[in-house]
Amino acid sequence: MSDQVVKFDNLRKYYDNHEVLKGITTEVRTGDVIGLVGLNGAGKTTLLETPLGFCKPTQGSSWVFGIDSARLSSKETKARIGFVPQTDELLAGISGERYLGLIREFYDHWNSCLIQRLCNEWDVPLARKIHTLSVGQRQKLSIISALGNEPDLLVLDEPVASLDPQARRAFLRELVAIASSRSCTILFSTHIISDLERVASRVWLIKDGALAIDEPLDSLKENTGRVSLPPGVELPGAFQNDDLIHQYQVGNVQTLVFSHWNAERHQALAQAVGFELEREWWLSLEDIFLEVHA
Amino acid sequence: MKGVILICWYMVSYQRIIPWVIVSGLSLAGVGILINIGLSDYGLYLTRVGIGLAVFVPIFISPYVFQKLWSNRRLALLPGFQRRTGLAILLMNLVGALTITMMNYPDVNADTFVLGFIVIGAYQGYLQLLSRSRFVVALILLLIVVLLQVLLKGFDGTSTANQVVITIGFILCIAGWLFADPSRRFSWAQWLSGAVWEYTAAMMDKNSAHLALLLGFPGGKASRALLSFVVVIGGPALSWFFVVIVIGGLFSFQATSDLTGMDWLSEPANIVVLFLGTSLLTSNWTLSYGELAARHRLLWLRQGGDREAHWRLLEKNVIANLMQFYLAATLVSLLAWLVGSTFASGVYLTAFVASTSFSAYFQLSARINGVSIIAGLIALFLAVTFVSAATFKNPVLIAGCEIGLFMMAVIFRIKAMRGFTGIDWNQVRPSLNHSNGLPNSIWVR
Repeated sequence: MSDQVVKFDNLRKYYDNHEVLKGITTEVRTGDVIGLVGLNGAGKTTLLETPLGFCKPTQGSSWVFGIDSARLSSKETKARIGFVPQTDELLAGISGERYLGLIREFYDHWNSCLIQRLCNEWDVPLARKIHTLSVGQRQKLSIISALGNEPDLLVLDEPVASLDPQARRAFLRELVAIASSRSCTILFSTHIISDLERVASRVWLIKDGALAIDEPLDSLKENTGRVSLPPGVELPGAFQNDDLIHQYQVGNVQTLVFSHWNAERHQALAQAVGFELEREWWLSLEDIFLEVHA
Repeated sequence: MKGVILICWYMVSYQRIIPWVIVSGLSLAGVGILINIGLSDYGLYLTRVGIGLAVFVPIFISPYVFQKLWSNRRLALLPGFQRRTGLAILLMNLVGALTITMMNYPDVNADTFVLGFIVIGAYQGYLQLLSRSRFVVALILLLIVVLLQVLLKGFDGTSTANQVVITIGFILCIAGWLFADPSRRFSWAQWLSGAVWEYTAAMMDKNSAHLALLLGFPGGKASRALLSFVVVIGGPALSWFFVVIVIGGLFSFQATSDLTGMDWLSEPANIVVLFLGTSLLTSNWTLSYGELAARHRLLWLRQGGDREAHWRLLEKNVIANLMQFYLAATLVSLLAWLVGSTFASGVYLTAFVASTSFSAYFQLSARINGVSIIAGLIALFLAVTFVSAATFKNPVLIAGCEIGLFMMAVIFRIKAMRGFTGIDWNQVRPSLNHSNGLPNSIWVR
């Protein structure tokens, strides 16, 4: 498909016999804003860096703009990608202005106006040596340097981790503007679920190296249901499948969390158990995250 | 007191280099004891070097650790951190002085103990002062006067030079504690004494963007040439100058104390060997070749080419760098030859080529393949030992060892090249970002 930006096909990755990614198959299309969440060590960074060619799949394949990312070579293709690492990799001994000047030399296209505006709005002191900047300022500079070439694919690994709330909000605003103004595809990881809810169009929830959730944000929230069964009522076998995310008991009340839940299935369960069931609508993303990892 | 103990403990355990240095030193000492059966002089020498490595290096690197301590927020939160750190260093110096004295002079007396304290203190003061350029400038001026005085009157111990030198030692020691300012990231003095890539960044003009990302600073031929000069000649010269002052003080003191063991310093040729050894040492450990591999990650997304092409680019830069180093080393050995140290200059040049080649490819390979680069230090100290062994005039032994090092460089080059094409970049990241003032994983991955 022409609008396919990233594709993973049964992607597996091992580090020293430890399976970090367990057969991930999914794709990212033009204009998608993918929010990736997961616990520490779940494989987020590996998943994000594989399409960039940083990691080679142990099995399966990873494609970016239709090219096997392990064989990424063309400068033109690489120029379509912007990347913000989890820990900035700036050059400590030079000024921010100088650093941006260096990065600019790699690209045929560079939006100086955008860079200047962001530096002003985000209050990044470009004249100062990078090692004198705070962690947050460095992170802002790292983000800005990834935006100058106006990439078609922007990969950000926990970009807001060191930003203050105000800077975080400004960054998210910019991200939304970028995504909507020129169909930029964005792939970002975060631990701040509320940020993800503000920006992402689609959610990837990685658990134990597998994508436990890969759904548009709206449908994820709409189709995740939490149902409580009356005391003494067992869950019918037909509902004990992969859609059952979590099952737990508080006192004698059994609570169930389902994905792909809808009114029909809710009604079917009610009929199967012979009770009118209460469904908790619109679980927050944070609730869903916690349920999946419970 | 708990704070002092914590700082002492942290100082010792802070750099994970220390256990490695101790282990390698003891290993060296073990080898020395073993070969002592056949080659008594050299075996004894190795044993001394090994024990020195295991015992003294942890003490001598404590000023460096001291600088890094300031960057540690956990420790900085301790009340009276500065005062406590000074006290901790003082304690370490006393222990170190006692150790040196006990090792070298079983008949311990107050004089030798004080002497050991001065030597360590002066050396520490010297290192700490490097972070304050204005003090170093003043100090250099002062020491030039002292050195002239010492040279004119000789190390005979009867002149007033020894008292002056000892006084200087005390001044250095105290001034170092008082005025060290590790928060300063750059100073000419620091740059001169131990140039690293980061410090050069402050003064170099832009050349190529890709080289800047690769090296961690805007590089180029001129900057490399300057760096080569500083690392091979300038930095060692400054260090040598201070070491001679300190050891000169030791020598003059022991002449009056009727002590033995340092008389080899009275020969000018051996002073040249000391300088050559210092040069070899700094040329090896000031450059983090492993960083080149780590920094390729920054280039990968911005520059065309597959991994093989990137390896070629990487190696081109390594070779260019080494060649400039070799040129500087050739100049040094020519100078050594001119002052009459023929044998030492030849050994120096071969050791330089072998050990820097080894160092570059070992660190690259270690970083790429996930091996601890600290093991390279063992080879480094061996190389330095071989240079110093020139005084034993055993060319077969020295040449054999250097050839061995060079062969290892070739092996590690193959290993690095193969590893590079299959590397996972997220496993090899730049570690010298200095975001918190620390080279995060330069010693141990």
